Formats: sequence, structure tokens, C-alpha cells
Amino acid sequence: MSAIKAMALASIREATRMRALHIVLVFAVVAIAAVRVFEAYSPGEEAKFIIDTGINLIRLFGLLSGLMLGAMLIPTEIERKTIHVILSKPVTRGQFLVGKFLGASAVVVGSALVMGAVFLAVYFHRFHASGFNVDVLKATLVVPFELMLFMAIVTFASTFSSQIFVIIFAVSAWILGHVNDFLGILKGSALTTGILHVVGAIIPHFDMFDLTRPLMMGDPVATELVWKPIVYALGWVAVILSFGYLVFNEREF
Amino acid sequence: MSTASAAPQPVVTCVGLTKTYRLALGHELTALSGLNLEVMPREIFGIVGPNGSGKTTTLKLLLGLIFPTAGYCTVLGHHPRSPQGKESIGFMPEGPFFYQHLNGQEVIEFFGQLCGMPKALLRERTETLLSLVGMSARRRVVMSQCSKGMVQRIGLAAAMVNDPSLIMMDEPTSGLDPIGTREIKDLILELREQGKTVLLCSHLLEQVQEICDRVAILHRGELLRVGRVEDILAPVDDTEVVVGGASAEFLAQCKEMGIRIDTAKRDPTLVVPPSVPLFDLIQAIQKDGARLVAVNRFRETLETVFLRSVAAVGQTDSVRGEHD
Repeated sequence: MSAIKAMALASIREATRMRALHIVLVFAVVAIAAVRVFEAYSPGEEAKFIIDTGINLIRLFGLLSGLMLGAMLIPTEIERKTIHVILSKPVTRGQFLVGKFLGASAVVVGSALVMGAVFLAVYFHRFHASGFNVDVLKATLVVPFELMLFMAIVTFASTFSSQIFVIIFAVSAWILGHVNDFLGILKGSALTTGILHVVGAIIPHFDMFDLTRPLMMGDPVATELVWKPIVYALGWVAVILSFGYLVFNEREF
Repeated sequence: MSTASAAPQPVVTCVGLTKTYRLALGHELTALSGLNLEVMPREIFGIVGPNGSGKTTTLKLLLGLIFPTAGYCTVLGHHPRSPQGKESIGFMPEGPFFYQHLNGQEVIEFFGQLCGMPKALLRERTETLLSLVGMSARRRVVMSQCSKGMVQRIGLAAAMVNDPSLIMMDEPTSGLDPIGTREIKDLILELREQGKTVLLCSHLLEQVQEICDRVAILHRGELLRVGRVEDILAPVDDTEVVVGGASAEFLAQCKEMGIRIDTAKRDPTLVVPPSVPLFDLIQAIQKDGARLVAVNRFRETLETVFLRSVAAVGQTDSVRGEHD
């Protein structure tokens, strides 16, 4: 456990001193805080505009932070040979992988929580007179879990590929994960349909984390729409990291 | 009842250790071929060889970073990937690279935490190591602002944080100035005094000769020689005669007499075998009008042994090539 903790803490410390990450976070906070400036462009639907834009900005900047961290996660350690010294200590490859994932995820989730807090403050300040809609809090709450799942995919990709490929792989998985409900119903040749079905089955359903849709429709956000994605994310994280470990354990440096 | 004490067990054992890399288009590269080696406790063991000879591959195999194609190795009696074995290992790579935003003290503490060291012990150990590698005053400098020599010193401290009994070093003096190099050499000798085993890889033969107890010479992945430095540099009865202003005719005459001539230095050096009477040679020098600069007992260096071993392999290769 101490090795995992040490890896995670070092990753957090390294990440929190990255100037580029500070800039992204400051920019994200400013963008979220400025959402109200543009609400005038959606007259009569200000609440929907603020919720949709605010939550998607958290998601977008969270992904950006995740990619910046993830690209450096393991490929950089291998490229710079830091991993040689780390694995010469009594640290298993599994501990290394889990530590790196936890450290990077903690930073991304932490950033998402800061952005979420700013968003909720903006929303509450704007709509406190009409009462606070707790469903907005629920929709915001699942975003960090989506980002954690995204970080697991980034970690998995970084066990076998270069920085650029990690970015391409993770972004592709995220995009496909948001549309994979459609993949299953697309028609084409038997081969194409088969491939789309397989892709749809092996890529996590990121659309589960998008609770802005019921909010936009004016529907209440049921509690199960919150806990199901959370459990789903944690389950997928375990599966993806297990596969990552299998790949990483056989890798030569 | 037997009174004989048990023979010391080797710290590192390599048996038929082979590593072949698969390259593109079905090609293969054998980086290490059938290495048999034992490193005994409390010795400084050097692996020498030119670039691409298999030195770093050997270290990577011993650390479990890569896997052998054939053969096996054990480190402190454990499989190279066993965390138990690694509890007593320290490794310093060539030109180590640490997290750029951490300072020297944090880097050492990080590696101590990886080893599960208690806080108080780690703090004490970090202080000792920072002082040992001369980085106490510069402990707060972040890695991105450290010179190559400073990083090397932190790398050495990080390798020793868990007080290992076996320390592996890849080109330990790389990037260090002469003072830093001397300090590292002294430190390695001190480690042996403390009862530790040091396994180092280097292409700086003079340094290896100076500090190692035993050496292995690798060339193109094959072990050419292994043994105690003094055995490899066995005393020979040749005499070294340095002459100034010798004519080409005289030097040609010397060659005919079986005298080796080293022209690398300003004045030619004649390596005279015992079969050539020294008195006759000195008379011949006077007759040639050359100047006798010095007469010494010939001392072989690791460099000459290494070059001779490599040259012998080269000749064998070319003979093999002709037969193939």
C-alpha cells in the first residue's frame, strides 16, 4: 500500500506544480463563472443554458486536464527512464500502475470538483430566488466519475503506446462512448454491423454520465440515474486497470 | 561434526543469459549471448565493453526490466522481478531523470517511501545521504534546474536510500567533473568497506581498473574475459623502452626482432620481450643516434587487454566469415 500511496502522492505533487495545468484550471473557472454573461442569448431558457454550458465546460476542461496528465503518465516515465529506477525498488508493476492512475485521477477529479463548486455557486447566485434545484447538483456530481473512467482509459492506453496515441485512443473512446447507443442500431454490411456491435459492447457508455438531458427536458433526475453511473464507472475502472496490468506486466523497458 | 564454514553464495548469478530482440522485417538482434557470471558479496564488479556490447542489457535483465530469451539470472537469491529481492537493491542508471518539479530532497524521500521506510528513519536517512553526496545546501533545487552532475548525485542518493546490500550502477561517473568523479570513486570504495556489493557498468576502463576487484569484458553481447583485475593484468616480463628521435629504419629493425612498438605517445615506446637482450638494444639506440628517454617494467592496462581481446574476436570473426 505504501508504494501505491507514494506513487500517487508523487504524481499529485508533480501535476499540481505543472504550470500548464494551472492555466487550464484558471481558464476553466473563468469560463464557467462567465457563463451568465451569455445567458441573454437564450431568452426564457437561461437556466437550461447555464446548466448545459456549465456542466459541459466542466467535462471539457476535465478531459483536457486528463489528456495533459495522461499523455505524460507512463510514456514519459519510460522515455526518460524514470521507470527504471522506480521498478528497481520493491514496487510491483501493478502498484506502479494503480499509483499513477490514482494520482492522476485525484488531480483531474479535484479540478472537476473546483470547477463544479464554481458552477454551482454561479447557478445558485442566479436562481436562488426560485429555489435551488438539487437535480443540478446530481448532474454535476457524476461528472468526476466520468472523468475517472476516462483516466482509466488513458492509463490503459499509456501502458502500451506513445503520448500521441494515448491522446488519439482516449479521445476516440470517449467520443464513441457517447454515441455507442447509435452504433448498435446502425445498418450496413454484416461485417460493418458486426464491428459496430463489438465496438459498442467494449467501449464504456459515457452517455450514462450526461444527466443534462433530463434536466433540459424538465424531467426530474431519479436517484438511480446517479448511483448507476457511479457504480458503472467504478466497475469499468477495475476492469480496464486489470487489462492494463496484464499488458504492462509483460512490457519491456 | 564439520567445522568448515559455508562458502559465500553469489549475490548475482547469470546462467546462459541470452537476450534477443525482434526487429522489423523478421530480423533479430542478439544483445546478450549465453552470459555466465557470478558476482560475489562485498566485491566491486565491473562490466566493461564498448557501446552495444550488452552491459546495459545485462543490468536491465538483472532488474527485471526486460526478460531473457534463454537462460536465467538471480539477484540476492531471488527472481529479478521479486519485490523481496529488490528490498536490498539500489540502482543508478546512466543520466538518471527524475520528476522535474520535485527537488532533490523530495526525490530521495519519494524513493524511500516506495521502499516503505518509516517517516522518522527516512528523514534521518535523507539527511545522511544529502550530506554524503554533497547536496545538503542544494536540497531545495528542483530537478529541472539541476546540472547533470547534481542529478547524478541525487540519483546515487536515491539508489542508496534503502541501504541496499547490492548497488548497480550504469556509467556512474557520466557527466561528472574530475572532482565529482573522484568523489564517486571514493564513495564506491567506501561502500565496499561497509560490506556492500557494487556492480557497475562502464566504458571508462581506467576507472574500472582503479576501483574494481573483478571485471567482465563484454563485446557484441559475448563474454570475452572475466576475472580478478590483477589476474587479467598478469605481470609480464616485458620491458618498456621509450626512445626519442629514432629513425624509421631502426624501428623497422626492432619490429623484425619481435619488439612491439606503440607510437600513440610523443616518443615511440618499445615493448621489449625477455628474448631480446636489453644491453644490445640500448647499444643499437645509441648507434642509431636516438635518445634513450626511459626504461621501465612493462605494465599492462585494462585498455590494452580489452583492445587485444576485442581484436582477437575480430580476427576470429573474419576467419569465420571467410569459412562461411
